[in-house]
Amino acid sequence: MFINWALQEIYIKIVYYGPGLSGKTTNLQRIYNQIDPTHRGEMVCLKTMEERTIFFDFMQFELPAIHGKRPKFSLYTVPGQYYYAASRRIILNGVDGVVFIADSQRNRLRDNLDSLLDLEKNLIRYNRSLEQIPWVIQFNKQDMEDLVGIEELQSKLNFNAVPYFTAVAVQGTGVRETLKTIINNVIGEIERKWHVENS
Amino acid sequence: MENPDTANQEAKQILLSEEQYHEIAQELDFLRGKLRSQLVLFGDLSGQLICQKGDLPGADITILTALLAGDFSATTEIAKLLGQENQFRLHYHEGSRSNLYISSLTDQFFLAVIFDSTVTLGMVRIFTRKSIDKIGRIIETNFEEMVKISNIINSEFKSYVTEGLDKILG
Ligand SMILES: Nc1nc2c(ncn2[C@@H]2O[C@H](COP(=O)(O)OP(=O)(O)OP(=O)(O)O)[C@@H](O)[C@H]2O)c(=O)[nH]1
Ligand SMILES: [Mg+2]
Repeated sequence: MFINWALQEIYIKIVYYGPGLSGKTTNLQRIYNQIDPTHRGEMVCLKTMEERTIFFDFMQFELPAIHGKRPKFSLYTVPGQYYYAASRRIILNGVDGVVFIADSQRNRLRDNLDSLLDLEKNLIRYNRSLEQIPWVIQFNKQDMEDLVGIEELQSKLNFNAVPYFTAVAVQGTGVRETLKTIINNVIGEIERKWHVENS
Repeated sequence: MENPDTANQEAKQILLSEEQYHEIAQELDFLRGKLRSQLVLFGDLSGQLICQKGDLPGADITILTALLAGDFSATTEIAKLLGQENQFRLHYHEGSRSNLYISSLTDQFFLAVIFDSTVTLGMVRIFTRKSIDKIGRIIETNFEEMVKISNIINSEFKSYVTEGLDKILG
């Protein structure tokens, strides 16, 4: 979070994390297409010829002003492929909340877990951790064959019992709910941290 | 439980006062004049634009800032791999029509200057260094974060955000 008092702007950074091909870029694209251009900027995708993220995707949107205050949200995705570890670490700089996009297919279970551990390791580099940062998990690709059941996904991946969503990101299912929840939880965390009184 | 003290130990500055912002803007204006620069930009290495003076027609400055921050951080990582951590705290791109000079301020901020070949790199170095020092002092100034933050993020804020999200996401 960063507050620019002169402009009354509040910046919040959300990072979409997860293994390769789990649907991080797809989530961002759906959000980009859903938001009216008057409320968002362009989306930039740094990717390979095969449409794989190589550094990050980025877009920013803002909410209608709230009594003059202007909340702005930056959304990033990281490259999921394991050898882009340094890029993932860089993108986590200053993160306020994480959306973990898991691939629900059975043969990807291990990759999801590895990616979560990688996330935890990278957060620690910034003196943060999954225990203390707001995060949510999305079980994506629910339209595929040979899925892991929700209970098993929950018990194997969601060890902090954070909010979870099932999704088919290519069809836009579950994308909005996931984003709304992480933003709400980030604001909740800011209120808690700075002792904002609830009246 | 975290209290504000431990939160501050993260050593991240999260609030810029009105005075600080205007002083930084003034310094950027000064720097831009000195270097006849098309654009000077002050941002956070997390990718957030804080203040800009000048413009680049046709370029999205929000995206430019995210790219500059990523680029600068990547170069810093490369420097670490080369065992030259301290020598890359600034970096320089030479183009056919304009050049780009970026240097960091603490681990959190950076200053980028776009200038043309009528200005020497030496000049850019000297004046950017001065501006960085100046902005460093501006930012250091103590500011009562606590009061102000609960002032801007008050109890109604969350419900307004929820409403706003519903409005723009449907
Ligand atoms: N069937 C199905 N395919 C999906 C779903 N979500 C994404 N995909 C597809 O999966 C592929 C990879 O999606 P991306 O969004 O590019 O994956 P990513 O997580 O950004 O991958 P990296 O950039 O390599 O980390 C694309 O072909 C998407 O169309 C889904 O819910 N169901
Ligand atoms: Mg991607």
